[in-house]
Amino acid sequence: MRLSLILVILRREVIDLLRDRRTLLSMIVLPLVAFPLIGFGISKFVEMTSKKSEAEATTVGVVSRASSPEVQSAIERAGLRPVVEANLRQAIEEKRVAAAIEQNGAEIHLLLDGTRIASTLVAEKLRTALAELKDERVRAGLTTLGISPTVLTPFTVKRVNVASERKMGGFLLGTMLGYIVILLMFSGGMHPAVDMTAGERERKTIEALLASPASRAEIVLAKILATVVALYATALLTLCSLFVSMKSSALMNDPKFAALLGNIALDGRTLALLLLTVFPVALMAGALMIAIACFARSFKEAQSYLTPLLLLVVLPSLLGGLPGMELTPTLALIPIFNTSQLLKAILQGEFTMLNFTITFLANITYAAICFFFAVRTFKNENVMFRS
Amino acid sequence: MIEVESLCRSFQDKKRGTVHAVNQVSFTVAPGEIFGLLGPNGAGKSTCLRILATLLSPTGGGARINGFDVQREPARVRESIGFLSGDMGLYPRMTPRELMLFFGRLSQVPEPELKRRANELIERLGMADFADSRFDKLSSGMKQKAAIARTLVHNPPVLIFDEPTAMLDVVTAGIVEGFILQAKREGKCIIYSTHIMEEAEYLCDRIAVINEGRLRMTGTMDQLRAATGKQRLREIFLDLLDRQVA
Repeated sequence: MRLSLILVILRREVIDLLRDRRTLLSMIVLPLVAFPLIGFGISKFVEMTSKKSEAEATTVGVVSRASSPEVQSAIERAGLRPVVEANLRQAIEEKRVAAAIEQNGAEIHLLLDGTRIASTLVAEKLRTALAELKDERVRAGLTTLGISPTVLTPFTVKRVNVASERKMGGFLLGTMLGYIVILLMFSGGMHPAVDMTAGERERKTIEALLASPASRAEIVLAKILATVVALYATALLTLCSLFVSMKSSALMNDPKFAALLGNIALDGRTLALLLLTVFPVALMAGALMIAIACFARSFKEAQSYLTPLLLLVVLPSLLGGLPGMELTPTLALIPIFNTSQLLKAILQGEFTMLNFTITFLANITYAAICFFFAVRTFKNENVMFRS
Repeated sequence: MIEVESLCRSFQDKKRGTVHAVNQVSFTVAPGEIFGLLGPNGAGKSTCLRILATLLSPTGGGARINGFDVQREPARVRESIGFLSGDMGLYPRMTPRELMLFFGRLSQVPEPELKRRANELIERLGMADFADSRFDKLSSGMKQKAAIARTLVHNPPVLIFDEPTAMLDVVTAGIVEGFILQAKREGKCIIYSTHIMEEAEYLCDRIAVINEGRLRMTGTMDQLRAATGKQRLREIFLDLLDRQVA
């Protein structure tokens, strides 16, 4: 193996990739633009929906003859405006009121349209207001009878989440990140791998390259490395874009969301660990994609060979994001799954060195196997010169 | 110098069984000589040249290029050859200058010499106007000039041309032919496959007719005329194919 020749081919392949619009789109534009756009779009949508719901969710329909002054007063205390309507169901359907209450003696019916957010919000406010009114009456009754209202609450139950904010934020971000980074990384490397193998064959450039002094192993290694550059650049840009858009997104206006993400360490160590975790996966993916694409006679054929690979990586990366899934030394041997799990654990600040090492070594081993498979395929005349 | 001795290449085909693409082929080509390999489509020309360029391995016999064995010293063989096919093999997003530098670097030509040689070829082939334009913007003639320059940039002693004019118009084919003759004058050892009779008659010092993987006859035009009693290469070629059918 001559490093100088590998570098010559690698340089040419990378320059070629950077001149290819389709590669630039999947490798640079998509990761850089997708997340800010998605974040901006979601936040705008949430903002619009909540404004609309809030504007709508201020009116409550009541039947004048039936609702008591106490109930009317409870509605007003909840910040809602009672409107007298003759037909409550029709008023809700025609959106004149968000929800309504119908009092029939000791029975109060809460009417709402479950398909509308505004209606659901108002119904919830009404339920809370009426529950408070009921409690007030019970307390007043007990006091009249000389019984302390505390008999109603011998003890209280309070839910305390012991998970740290970083852990919660890491769980949220890690669940998305493992899946998105791996998926985008694989799709970022797909086009370059196809272009450098089936594309070369289709353009008839492969024979001139194979007739050059570079050996097959040197050529295929350079092509794998060029694919890895594309894969890794996609992963790096995806990670950075995801981090930045999460932190700066309008979603951060939500104090709960901001508190969760705010505690995730966005330091160099975390980023370095994430990139180190992804590195052997990029090597493995590059070698595997080149090996598979070598079998194709045309660009389209190669794309159809590699598309199932994307589906194959989605499942384990999705599984890794599910709640309750934890990385153990045995599970760290499962490719892709181990990576999505480790990414989540790093963000949560909870990974162990043992799991990190096993995952890294397992993925390096798979990358080496894929590399030898790619070299064998590239050296196989029946594959390279089949027509 | 090219020395080919009992060269064979066979493969298995589901319908046809064992196919002998190249069968017991022997010939030699000296420096300063153009050796034409003439045959119909599927005769075995390209397979033979691909073996000489170490793209395919022989299943029998052997060949030496510039003293190096194609099976035992493939890297040395590739350093000694310039290989050009009719498909040209040009990267659409590269420029002719970049292509020359790329292949020159693969042949480990020292950088100052490589740049000098690239500039020299650009001048000799009249490529100055488009040397820095991408191939996807060039005409067929411009592309073929660049492909020739790529073949010659490392100054190889042996040139292997596999139907280099197959896809070209008469004017562009003329440019290629002129360059091949110039390479011959420089002492290059040239093997040239074609199925264009006039071209072979005009260019080649010796011609070998190949069909169904076997060499039917090898010789100079005069030798072929004497053996077949025909004058023009087209007639000689058809006569040799007819003999085989009979």
